[in-house]
Amino acid sequence: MTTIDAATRMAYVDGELDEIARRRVERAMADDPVLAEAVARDRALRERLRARFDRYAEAPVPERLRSLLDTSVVPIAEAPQPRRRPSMRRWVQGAAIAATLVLGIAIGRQSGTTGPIVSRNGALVAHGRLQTALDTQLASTQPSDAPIRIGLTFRDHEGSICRTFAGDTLQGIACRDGGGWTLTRTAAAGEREGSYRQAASGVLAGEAQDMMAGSPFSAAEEAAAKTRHWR
Amino acid sequence: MDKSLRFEEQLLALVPRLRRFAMSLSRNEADGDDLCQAAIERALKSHDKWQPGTRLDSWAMTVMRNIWIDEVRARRRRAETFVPPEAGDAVGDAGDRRIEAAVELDHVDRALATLPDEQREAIALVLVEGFAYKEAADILDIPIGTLSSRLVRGREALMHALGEAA
Repeated sequence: MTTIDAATRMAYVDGELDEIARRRVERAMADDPVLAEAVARDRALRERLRARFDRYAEAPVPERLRSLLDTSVVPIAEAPQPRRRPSMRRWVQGAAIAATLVLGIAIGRQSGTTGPIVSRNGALVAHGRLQTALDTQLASTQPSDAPIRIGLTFRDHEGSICRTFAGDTLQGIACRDGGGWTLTRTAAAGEREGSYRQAASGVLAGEAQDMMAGSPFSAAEEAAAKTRHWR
Repeated sequence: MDKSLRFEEQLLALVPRLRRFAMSLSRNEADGDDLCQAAIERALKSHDKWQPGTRLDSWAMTVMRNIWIDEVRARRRRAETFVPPEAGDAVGDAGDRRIEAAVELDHVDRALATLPDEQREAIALVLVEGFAYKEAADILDIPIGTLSSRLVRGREALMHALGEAA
């Protein structure tokens, strides 16, 4: 009979063993009820600890902690001045977000409706007609002159559905988050060259490619995702 | 590739897990949230020490754990000077029924309280947070072998305290 020491048995329960070692433990368990019981106890302990502490991971974040990270108070009226050193990303950060916000709000003012973006709990969230476009518009059926055009729809590495979009002044990538769309990339729209796919063939498409798990949705997949409310 | 716009947003998404880790370290909600707040503040302050492309969760947990260690040391120093106020409070507690409701909570918390800090943090990272041994060892800055033996001893002590020893 094989002897399995406590460290190996626990590593087995923790999913740390390679295939061969795992099989070895499982063979030993089949022959040794004492070992099998010990494994069951190890598993039960894991579950008991999780049951004790998971409530905190599942509970809403207390306001006191959330407020530390809520950066939605962007000084729109003032010259954009990032509160913290912006990182060197190609896409919008800090100051540029403020600019996009101003842009979004300005668009809203002009058209007399709400802007395409609102800030909620520190995240930029699609609003108004942008939200409607993301919710309802299919790349395969949208009119060629739609004010906001949807490009690619795909799943990111975390399993959320994301969609690239482009309007007259704003383009970006929005990902499904709860019942809404969180903007994960935004930029002022460049020149529109007839079709969105062309416009998106640059940086935005590259960003989408990086975020994508698998391939972009086909027209059928996109339509199916819509009926499932993009979940 | 992260999909968040900002460091703050990525950190915000981690707060539920940070809270869980804080609670398993402190086993006390008020302390846990204080710890969480201190960790978030320090993470924001030392933002530039985090290397994009590396795991933000491991980094943030490291920040939190280091704060907790400092706190534990400070408490120990205080405890050497002062008699802990709880010492006389437990006698004749009229809140027995309230305590009963939280019995399971208490069992696990009390069992955890019997562990040395270094075993408790190893257990918290691997069993509660689900980190792989390698990641947990990196967070604690110890070799994997050391982590593994702390996990063995910690688990055996927990089972014993919970009355489940073989």
